[in-house]
Amino acid sequence: MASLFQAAQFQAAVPQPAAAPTNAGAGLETVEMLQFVTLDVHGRSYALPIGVVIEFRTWIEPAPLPHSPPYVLGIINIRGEIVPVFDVGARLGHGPTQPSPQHVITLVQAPDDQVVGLLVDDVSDIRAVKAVTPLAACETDAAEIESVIEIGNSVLGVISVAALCCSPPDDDGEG
Amino acid sequence: MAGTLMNLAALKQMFFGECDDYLASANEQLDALDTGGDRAEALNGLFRAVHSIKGGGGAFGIEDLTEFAHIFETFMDTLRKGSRDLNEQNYGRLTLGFDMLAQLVGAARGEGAVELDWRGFLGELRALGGTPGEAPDPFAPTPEQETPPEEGDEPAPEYRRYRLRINPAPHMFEAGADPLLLLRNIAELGAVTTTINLDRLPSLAEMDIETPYFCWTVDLETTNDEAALQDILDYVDDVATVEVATVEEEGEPAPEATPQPAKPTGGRAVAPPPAPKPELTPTKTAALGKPETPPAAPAKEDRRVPTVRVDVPKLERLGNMVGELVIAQAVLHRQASEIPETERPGLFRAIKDMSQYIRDLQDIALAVRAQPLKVAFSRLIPVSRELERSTGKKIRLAMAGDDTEIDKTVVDRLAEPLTHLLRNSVDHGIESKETRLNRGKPPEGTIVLSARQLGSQVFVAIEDDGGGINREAVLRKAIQRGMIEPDASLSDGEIDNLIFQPGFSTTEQVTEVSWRGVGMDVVRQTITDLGGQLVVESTPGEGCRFTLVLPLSLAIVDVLVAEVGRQRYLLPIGNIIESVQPHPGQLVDVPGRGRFLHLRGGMLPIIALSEEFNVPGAITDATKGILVIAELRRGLVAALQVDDVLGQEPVVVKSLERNYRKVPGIAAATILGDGRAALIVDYSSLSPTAAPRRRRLERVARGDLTP
Repeated sequence: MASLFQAAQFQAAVPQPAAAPTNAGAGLETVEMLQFVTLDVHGRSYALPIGVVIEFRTWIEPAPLPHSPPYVLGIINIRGEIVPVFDVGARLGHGPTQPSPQHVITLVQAPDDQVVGLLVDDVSDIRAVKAVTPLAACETDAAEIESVIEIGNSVLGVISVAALCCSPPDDDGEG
Repeated sequence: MAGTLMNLAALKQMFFGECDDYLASANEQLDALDTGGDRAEALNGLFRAVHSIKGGGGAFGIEDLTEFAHIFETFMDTLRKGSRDLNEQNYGRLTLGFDMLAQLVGAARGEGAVELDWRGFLGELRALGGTPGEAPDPFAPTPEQETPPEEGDEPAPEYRRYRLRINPAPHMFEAGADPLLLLRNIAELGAVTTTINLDRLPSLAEMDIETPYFCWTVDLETTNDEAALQDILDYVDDVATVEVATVEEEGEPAPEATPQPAKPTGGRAVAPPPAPKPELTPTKTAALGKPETPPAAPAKEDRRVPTVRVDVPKLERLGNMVGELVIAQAVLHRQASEIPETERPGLFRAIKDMSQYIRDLQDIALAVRAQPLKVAFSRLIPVSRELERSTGKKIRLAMAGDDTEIDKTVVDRLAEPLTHLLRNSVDHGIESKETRLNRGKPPEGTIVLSARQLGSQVFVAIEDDGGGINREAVLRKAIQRGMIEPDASLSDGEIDNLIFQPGFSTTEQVTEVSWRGVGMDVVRQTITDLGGQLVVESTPGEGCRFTLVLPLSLAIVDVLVAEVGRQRYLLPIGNIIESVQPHPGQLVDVPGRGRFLHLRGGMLPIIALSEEFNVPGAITDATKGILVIAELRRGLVAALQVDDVLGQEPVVVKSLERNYRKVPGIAAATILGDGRAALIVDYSSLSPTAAPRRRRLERVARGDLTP
């Protein structure tokens, strides 16, 4: 059911690109393409593997959770289930998001069969790429970015939902 | 079940569920015997319970259980028929036997071991007479060794012999008739030899579960006349054809009986309506030579309201869906109220009707999940008997209000804590016989289990007339364990509550029954986990009462919707005493200890939810807000400061951990009537001193030191 939602709602929300216009265009039959949803977070682009995305919702005011890190905006009701919403901008260190009705909550599948909502400024595109480059040897603290993909001549960080959901070690507890 | 074949594991589970019912009702019957109830009825009930367990045990090949039930049943039959006296000794055997039976059922189910010496007990019963394999089996014509009627076999010689050919009509099952019952009823009349005819049985693939395929030939030898037989046959007049012929010749009309390859113990399988049997062997059963003993069994069952067994997850889904419906209804109501009245004639009326139905539905959904506390209470009867045996103390266990109903989950999870509380009362509360007599009490200790419902809460109490909590010993032990300072001065209530501290036990010497490693702290935790509270009241020399305050349902709670800043927090109303709007004179600042409310001579600490939960933009002046007085936990009443109280509504409790994690200060989440998520406050985590301390630390951290 989740995947049906994903396809239908996404097409409604996002202008559909005609086809992957860049280097991903040729030889589609032989190379398995990986699909990503690209997100806009405070003017920066990030990517999410399409497999984790369940659904997009317009902004719903969450009920704030006390004793939680600043990037945890609170909880919302998704068809009777209580779902936490994380501010991706704040979580990735780009500063808190000032939500408006134009903002999008991306519901994603997190580990342990949990569902979480990610607040982003906008969802821009679905892109297919041939390969991801892992950031294994990378020394950044940003484990939330597990790998990068190349789209055109820009490089996008791929968000790890698992890492995003656990609190950074120095940021637990009180807000 | 119709149309589908349940797998063996599921059937076995069902059997164990039935065993619980049998054992629970047996406990009631034993109690009735003890307290002078209808003796014949109770004995018949007990016999049926054992007989049914034996039947199921045999069907599932649970040998120990079947063997035990078989011999125990034989013993019980002698009591039932009056050939053995129901004296105190035999009553003791009865109760012991049922305790063993319960343990054997538990062991078969993989829960716990058999601690009582049941084999020794069987030896004793065997020695009493009534050899194994001779158990009377008045209920079913199933494979059984050929046995002579048990008692003196010299009644009037005027035997009549009939041969009955029973041929069920195709619609017999559909009409709700049971051929097994017919065969049983015939067997009650006298000695029967039943031969099954499988000619009509098709291959498995062609078989229709709704159609009867078996025919039977029953040779009946009875002292009854044909009218008695006809009485039975009248019932099946239109669902089966039965030819009755009188047999005159001397020779045995039936072919020779060959015993089925049954259980080694002689236990037999009670199959639910005729199961296909591979052989065409005649089956033979022993029957009672005393036709005048009326079989109370079937008539009894008929008087009961028919019941259905339902999986708990199904009930949970029902409850959840009803919860969603309540919310959807509220959303609809809100939306509709935004339409101008002129454009919606009749709409409001329709919505109002609907909400009434939904409320009724909600009540029903709750009621479906509810079970009488009797279920949990009756499990304590064998425990008390076991305790009597092991401690040598005499106990009378009295019950009141045990038909009070509560959510099934609560009933299930109460069994353990209640057992522990009972053990505690017997072990530590009830004094030895000598001490009791010295204190001018009756030698027999009384423990009263009671339950009553009050609003959305159920109070369960377990009260003994023992010595009460030995505060001196408790204090000594607490100091010895380093739980309190040696010079600490504690009130009586505080001392009593020390027994709930982790790792506390006042038993000087660990007795066999004491605790088994589980302390009162675990008992309290179990109750807290259920959303309840455990309270102890003790009067030295007179006794001790533990009260469990439990929510009626785990799924739905009544809450007060409180506004704090722009946020809403929900306060379960169970703990709320009142709401006040204080005037300045009632507020007292105590340096270092925060703010207090002076109310009717008492001083209540004020906890501002806005500080506790760090809510911006909330009212800071308590006189402009509302103080909700609530009992946070036993003995701690505090005033919770909120901006406003918006109303009260029942909400469906939703897990926060499902998609997130536990949040301090929050018990759970829920969805309010407007479809928005909101948080339910966890009283027990609120503390009057935590907020000021945290606030100070935060200010220091910010470099903002002005108070």
